[in-house]
Amino acid sequence: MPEILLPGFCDLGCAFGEPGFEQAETIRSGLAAAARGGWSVVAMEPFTDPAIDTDAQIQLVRHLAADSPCRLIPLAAATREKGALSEMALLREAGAGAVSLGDVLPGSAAFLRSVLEYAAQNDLTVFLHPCDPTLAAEGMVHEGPVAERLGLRGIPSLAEEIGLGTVLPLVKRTGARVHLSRLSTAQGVSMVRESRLAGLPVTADVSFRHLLQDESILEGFPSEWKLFPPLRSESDKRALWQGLLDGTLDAICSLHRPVPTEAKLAEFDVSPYGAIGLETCFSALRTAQPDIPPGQWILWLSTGPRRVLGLAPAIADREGTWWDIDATWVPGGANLASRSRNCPELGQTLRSVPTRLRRNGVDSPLPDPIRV
Amino acid sequence: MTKSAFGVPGSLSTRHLPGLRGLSGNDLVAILDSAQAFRDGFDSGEPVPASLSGVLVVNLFFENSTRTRLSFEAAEKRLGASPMNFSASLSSTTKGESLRDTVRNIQAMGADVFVVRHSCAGTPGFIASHTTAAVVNAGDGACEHPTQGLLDALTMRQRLGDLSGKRVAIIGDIRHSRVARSNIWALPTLGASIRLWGPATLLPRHPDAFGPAVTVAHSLEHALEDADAVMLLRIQHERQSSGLLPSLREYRHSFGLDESRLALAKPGALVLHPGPINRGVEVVSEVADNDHSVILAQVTNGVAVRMAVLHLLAGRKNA
Repeated sequence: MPEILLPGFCDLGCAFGEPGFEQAETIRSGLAAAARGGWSVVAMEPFTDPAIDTDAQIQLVRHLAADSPCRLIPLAAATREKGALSEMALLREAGAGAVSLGDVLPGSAAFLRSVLEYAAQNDLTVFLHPCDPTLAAEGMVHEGPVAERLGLRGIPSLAEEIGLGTVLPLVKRTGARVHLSRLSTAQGVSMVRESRLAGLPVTADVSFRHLLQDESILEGFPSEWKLFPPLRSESDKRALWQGLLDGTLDAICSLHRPVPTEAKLAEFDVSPYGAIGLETCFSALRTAQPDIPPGQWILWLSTGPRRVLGLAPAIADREGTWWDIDATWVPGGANLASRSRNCPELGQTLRSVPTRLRRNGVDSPLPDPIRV
Repeated sequence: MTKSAFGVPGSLSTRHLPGLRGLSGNDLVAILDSAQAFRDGFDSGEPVPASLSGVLVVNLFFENSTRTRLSFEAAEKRLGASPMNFSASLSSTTKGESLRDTVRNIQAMGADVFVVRHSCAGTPGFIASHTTAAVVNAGDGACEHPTQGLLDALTMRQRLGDLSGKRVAIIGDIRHSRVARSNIWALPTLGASIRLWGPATLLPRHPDAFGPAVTVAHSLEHALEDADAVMLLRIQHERQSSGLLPSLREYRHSFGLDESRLALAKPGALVLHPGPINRGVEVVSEVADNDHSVILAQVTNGVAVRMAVLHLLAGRKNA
């Protein structure tokens, strides 16, 4: 089959390691990984060391990303020290694409309300994963039959439901735009569906791995599948797909979280959450769901997420990637541009290989082409 | 007693013992039969095979334990081993050495068997993937404590005979208990059914995960009704401070086993406890020390079971 040209994908919330965790990923290596995964825009989470919460850091990050064929949109941390708002006006002027609260909500609904009020005034979308911190505390996997059999502390679906129960009324009262990152539950999808029908300014995404796997993969304690939010039940997975199909969910994200190899080679409890995903996202999706037409992938991986960031749809000729849709490749070793190797797809044969980048009508080779 | 009564080293279908979940009925019975032979040998004084002579056994205990470690040591020495004891607090793990490196270093010294206790579920399997030595789980987080499950099953089998159709009540902090889980996997394999009971905050939230032979009772009375054996789990004092239990006093009031409650079970019902007992909390002394109680028999059986496991998994065939 001939190659096809797809518009560049847009990732809402990948993590690179710079500054502070450069051994896991730098901005340079992360953007190289993004280009090899067909992404032309990535929104980078700010939870580095130090966190990206000042205008100077936004400028630095943009400078480090300047030469890449993949555009980096920095997300700024919405808060500084406990209980302090970040300087959202200055951050926005420096180029922050949005602000982020990360993986768990602040412990105080009153403070969350302040964050949303201030972000709304500064015309910034707040990215957050709607998870109640107390219900998620100490949990490692989905609270369900697998956790019960393995004796692992679980994070109940209730954590997301309670989180949304806090966030959605605050969105209604403040008028803030909120992007719900990495939904993982059927109840979450249902609550977002209702809120969108009611006209609330919320958008949502789901990670590709939460579409492809459920908690059953965790029998045997494979640390490469220890993710946050955790992989949940089969019925949650079905509801997430339904949410994509009916438009409740706007985007699929990579949930790219690089972790040094030695940190993952540890007991399950102490192994950090996360897996890299920029390079394998589309291939893994295409391998599992080969019959979904390109137009649908474009909606979920490009148009939808770009709309969340306030970007017009990508035109493939200006900002695209050529794909050999039926070629196969095996992630691993030199076949990954990421510095990290915490990849559940290592050693698997995946379908669809990016071959060239198209920028402003001109083709150029991928940095470090993939060996098929 | 013939050597064959103890079973043949290497005859199990598994190289390791990470847990009782998934252990075949044949392997389970083989271990119990071997353990019974070793137990009989304690009384008769007949010599047992020195199948661990020359075998390097390392007790890798990352969690404090006196009883289980002593029991394993007794088993290892009776089989002719000179075990090495690893204590996490005195080791390079305090200097930041990873578990994988710790295991690989000790393996490089020639370890043949690791007996592992660790606070993290899944650790025995993790260690097994990084060593060629046999791995025996001595307790991993809330996941499993297979030798405890085996000694519990052996103790019940000794007194009750065939466990098929027998009813066992397990009372206490089920949610956090590796002892409960190992029994939950082993007893239905032997044909028994289990009723669970305890404070709502300490019961499993997904008991259906354990299969149809395991149910949550409606009340303490329902759990104890016609039980052939009652297994009591130790209540850890920290459950109180973590908001899961109002007080030990209330636990004793609502869940403690006394003579009147024990009378709800079958006549002659056994009382088991993995130890150490909180006397006056899980069980009153009168019951802990009466004829129903097999708690001390459990301890003796524990040595026999650990001898059986080590002999079958790692023993020298020509001992």
